[in-house]
Amino acid sequence: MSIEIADIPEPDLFGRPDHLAFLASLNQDFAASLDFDRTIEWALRGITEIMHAEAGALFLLEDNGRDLVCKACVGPVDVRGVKIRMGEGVVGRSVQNNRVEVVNNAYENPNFHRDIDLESGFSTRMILCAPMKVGDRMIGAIEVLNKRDGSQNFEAQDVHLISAMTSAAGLGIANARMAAALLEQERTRRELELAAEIQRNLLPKPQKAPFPVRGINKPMRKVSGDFFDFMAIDERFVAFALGDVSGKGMDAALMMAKTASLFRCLGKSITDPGHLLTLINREVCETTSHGKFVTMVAGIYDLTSGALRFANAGHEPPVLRDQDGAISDFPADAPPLGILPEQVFETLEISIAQGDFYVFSDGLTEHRDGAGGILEAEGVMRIIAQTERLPLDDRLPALFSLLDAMGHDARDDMTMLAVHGQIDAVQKKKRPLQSVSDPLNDMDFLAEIRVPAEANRLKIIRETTAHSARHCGFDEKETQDIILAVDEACQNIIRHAYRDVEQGEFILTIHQQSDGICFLLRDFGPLVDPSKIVPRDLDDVRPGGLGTHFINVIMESADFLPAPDGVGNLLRMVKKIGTRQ
Amino acid sequence: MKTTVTEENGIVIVKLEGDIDLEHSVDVRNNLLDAAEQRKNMLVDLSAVSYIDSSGIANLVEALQKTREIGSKLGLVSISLQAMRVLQLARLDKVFTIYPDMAAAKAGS
Repeated sequence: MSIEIADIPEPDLFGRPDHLAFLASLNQDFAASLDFDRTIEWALRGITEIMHAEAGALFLLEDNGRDLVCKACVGPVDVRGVKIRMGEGVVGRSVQNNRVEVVNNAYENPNFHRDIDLESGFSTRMILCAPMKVGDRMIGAIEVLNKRDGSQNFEAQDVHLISAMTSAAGLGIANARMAAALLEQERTRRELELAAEIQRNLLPKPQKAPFPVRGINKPMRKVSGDFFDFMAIDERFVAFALGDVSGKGMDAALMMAKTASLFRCLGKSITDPGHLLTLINREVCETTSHGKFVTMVAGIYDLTSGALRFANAGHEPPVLRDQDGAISDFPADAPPLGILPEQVFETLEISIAQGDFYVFSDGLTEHRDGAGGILEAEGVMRIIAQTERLPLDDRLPALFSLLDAMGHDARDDMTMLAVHGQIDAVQKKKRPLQSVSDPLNDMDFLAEIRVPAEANRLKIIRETTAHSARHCGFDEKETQDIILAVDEACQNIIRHAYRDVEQGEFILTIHQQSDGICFLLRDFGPLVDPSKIVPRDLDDVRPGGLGTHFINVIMESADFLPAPDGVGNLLRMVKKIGTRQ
Repeated sequence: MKTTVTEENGIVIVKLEGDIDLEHSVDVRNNLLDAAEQRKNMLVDLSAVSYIDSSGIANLVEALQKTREIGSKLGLVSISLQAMRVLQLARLDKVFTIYPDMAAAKAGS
């Protein structure tokens, strides 16, 4: 028999103050209690008592909206953990149909399952089950079994009484759950703040001039999917990186932490940025999930020459702004990290001797300008131009203030890194020291050859070099090394200095020194920017760029002197006897 | 500078002679890549190479990459002291399979 609650007359609740007091306390207890399970058991015990029942059980609807699980019970049999499907049995039907089920002769009711009785020896005679609802949301049911006062039936009064108490209990449960959710939320908030703090500590400590790199990061939420880092490798090189993990929030932040750590760890020993990104990519590919990827620029800056080598994995093109305000950008030709494990990343070399190099995340390019349009790269460059005269320390904060002043909330994490070329000043100091008024002092002239800058003259150069080296007392192994170094230096002229000139020539002058040999190599091509001549990284097995490495390894010194009359280039290479490595 | 390409028991043997320098490296490059295109295991005989520079090393690296791409093998045979020194300076001596002489090379490949 099912009874619609609406069909039953109001019970005399107010005539029974114990009931009323119990109802009132139900809610308070739920709200005050931190032990949810004990509180619902206490509530059920009270309800069972008031209903004069032998046993009672409280079921809660699982998150799947399908299963009802017994969370508390009173009586001779422990049925906690029993799972009932929505619509099945007396409890399942009560919940599905949202009405009180009254079964006064259980064993005759087709919906009653006898399994528990058979197992426990308990004899269920009559059942009263009320659905538990909060607002429109069904959360479970409470059932009581067998009246203790000997009566054979649950009456209409009982139906109304259990409905009232079940809905009070439901409200209490909902409140308790909400309180628990609030607590959980507060815990998550604290955890998030802790995560944000840990993340801030992953960013490098600000450095003062003359350190050339500055960075700034402004997360859109608490934690950031962007990062930047920089570190001095030694007195000459500074490594830096800026990355952007796809997505925002905690998962992006964790991936950011991993990528940043990989950079910090590997970047100290691997100085070729392309190779570094190749390794980080492999690592990220192994562990990435949910299609997450990282765009990243990694680079290394040579403080002595202004040479900057970098690699770009699918990131916004970095921008070089030279002293005249001319802008070049360097779009990525490789995909982001975390997509293709076999990807090899190329290293680009530029000179920023008199300029500034900026790397930024797409939070900047996608920022809205005053008119509500997207800034794009051009907009970012305009802001860069507005701040470029500021001291390096103030530049990035000023730039972010300009973005703020546009009056739109950030739509993404915003991160920017600037590498300041300061070679101008350094070189002015260095040049006079380097200039040799008479490079021929302390030297015996051996030979001079003037040849057209053509590959078929290299053999003549090698022969002359070989004879000169042997003349100076070098053994055969050293002589072979010297031949290689001089040959490579001449090749550089043929390949690079006169690349655009048809009939160039160069002069090789050889001098004997007391303990070695000196080569002066003079060409008349366009001025060489020494910062652009960088030996290749040997971990990277690719053709090209080897010659400069050979020269640097073999010769004691190889440096450019001011060429006479300022025309062309003058390279001096010195080799001492007995220094072969 | 002279290049001879022969084939023996399914192995392509490229013998290089003379100076591999900037003047000749373009020819050497073409010859090595053509030989690699035969898609067979390949031996480069360097016994008669009197001089090799960075451009020559680049040729060998490119040939090695090509054979790897194809799935065949490349070995260097009878490397002169000078060439070995250049490979060592470039730290590429571990990258190549190097045989002391042709007999060892044929047994090895």
